[in-house]
Amino acid sequence: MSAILALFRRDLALAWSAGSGAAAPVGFFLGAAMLLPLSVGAERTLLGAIGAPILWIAAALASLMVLERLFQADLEEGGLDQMLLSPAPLEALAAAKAAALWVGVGLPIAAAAAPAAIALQAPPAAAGAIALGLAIGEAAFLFAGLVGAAAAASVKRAGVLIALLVLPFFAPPILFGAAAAAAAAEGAPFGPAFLLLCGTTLFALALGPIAAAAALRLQAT
Amino acid sequence: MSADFTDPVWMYVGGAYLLAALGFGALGVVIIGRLTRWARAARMDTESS
Amino acid sequence: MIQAFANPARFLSFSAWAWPFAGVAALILFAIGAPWALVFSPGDYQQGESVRIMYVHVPAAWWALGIYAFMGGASFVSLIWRHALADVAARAAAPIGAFYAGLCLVTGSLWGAPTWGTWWVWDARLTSMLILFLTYLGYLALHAAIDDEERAGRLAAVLCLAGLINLPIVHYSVEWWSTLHQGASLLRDGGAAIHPSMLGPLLTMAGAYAAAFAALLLANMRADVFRRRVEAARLRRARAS
Repeated sequence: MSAILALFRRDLALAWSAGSGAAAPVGFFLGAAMLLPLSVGAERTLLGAIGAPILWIAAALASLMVLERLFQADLEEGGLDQMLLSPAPLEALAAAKAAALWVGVGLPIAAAAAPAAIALQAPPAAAGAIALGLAIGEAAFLFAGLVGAAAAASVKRAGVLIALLVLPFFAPPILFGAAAAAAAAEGAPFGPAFLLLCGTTLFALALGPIAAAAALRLQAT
Repeated sequence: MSADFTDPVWMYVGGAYLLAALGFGALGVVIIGRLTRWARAARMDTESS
Repeated sequence: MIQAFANPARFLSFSAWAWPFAGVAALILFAIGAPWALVFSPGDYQQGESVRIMYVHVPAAWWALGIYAFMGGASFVSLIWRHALADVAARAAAPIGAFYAGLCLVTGSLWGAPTWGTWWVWDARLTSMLILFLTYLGYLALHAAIDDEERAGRLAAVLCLAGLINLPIVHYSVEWWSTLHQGASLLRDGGAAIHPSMLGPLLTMAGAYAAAFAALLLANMRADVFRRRVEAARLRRARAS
């Protein structure tokens, strides 16, 4: 247990330290969301209809950015060997890394989504529900993304490869997440889409660490 | 009753069959080409050793 | 069963006659099925002539899924029993499966354009086929990106099994999603009631696609077994000199 907590703290510190800080993915998220009104125009009703779903796309892309380095540094610097030698199960350690990433990057993105949603003409009362949905969806993105990050950990410059591997796993959460966000913007915050989003997130939480651990064991041999 | 070739939808039907035929042909040429190349290399290896 | 194919030499002697056999079977079935489907079968009373696209489209959809299931089985065997030939089989099947999925998408669009009046709709079947196509591409890309071939095969096997879980989730997600949005019911193509006169050409074409897959798979696997032999021999010579 202590090994799991220690890894969680170390990865969280890494996520918030300079260089690989949470500021970069959050900034990327806001920048990508900003491109929307610049590309479709500032028409308020149009933005109100598509703004919240677009935030989901921006969040998915921002999570892809942070997945590339997730296991590469461990593989290069021997952290992976220590994880394998540790008495804690590798599945739990992989989950701890994803959880640290969720707290360090996922939650800041979700928090930044609230003002971004208001700027994209969602009703201010719905901003909280949109941010809550994104916080849950970020967990699905990061835990499902673990699989691709672990499988491609030994590949140099794996960014595009990881994106290709992981995007099919992003389909279910983004379907329900964007539907829930659109419903929230229309004033019905916690409908069936929100519950289905929670369901897909639970799926990713349960299966992502198992598959990632299987891939990590192969990386070490 | 069989095919009615006057129907303009034959553009799409013909296109679909043409693409399928071209695709199968191209895939077959690539895979069989790969097989002949490596089979020949393997044969030359066993002869030389 | 698994042990019988464990030996590459035995596989080579079996596939030496099996792949041309399957290839000839595919050519014969195509020679019967294609004219039957294209000319001699009746047009549909509702869809008219465009129903003929179904005979190249539906078998591609069936076998694109079937080949992925086959790869999933081979990946499982490769991970559990560390069976080298299972890895060769999964890798050799992937480009064929990607081709079937791509063919399914293109012919589906060609059917949709005159029938629905649009090239693409985001319903469950089309979306999951697109995701399947992307999954095939991801498998091939991961396999190609890792230099150590054994590790590449087994990491790709993990990815393949994860994708096998993802596909039904995507399929049902899109179905539930479209019921949330309502009104996807206008897109009930084909349907359960296939007229018996269409079953003959459809099953012949499905058989042709299956035989073509078997022939291309065995040929591709043979090429891989030969390639590994040649590369191992080259490595031995390089070490000896």
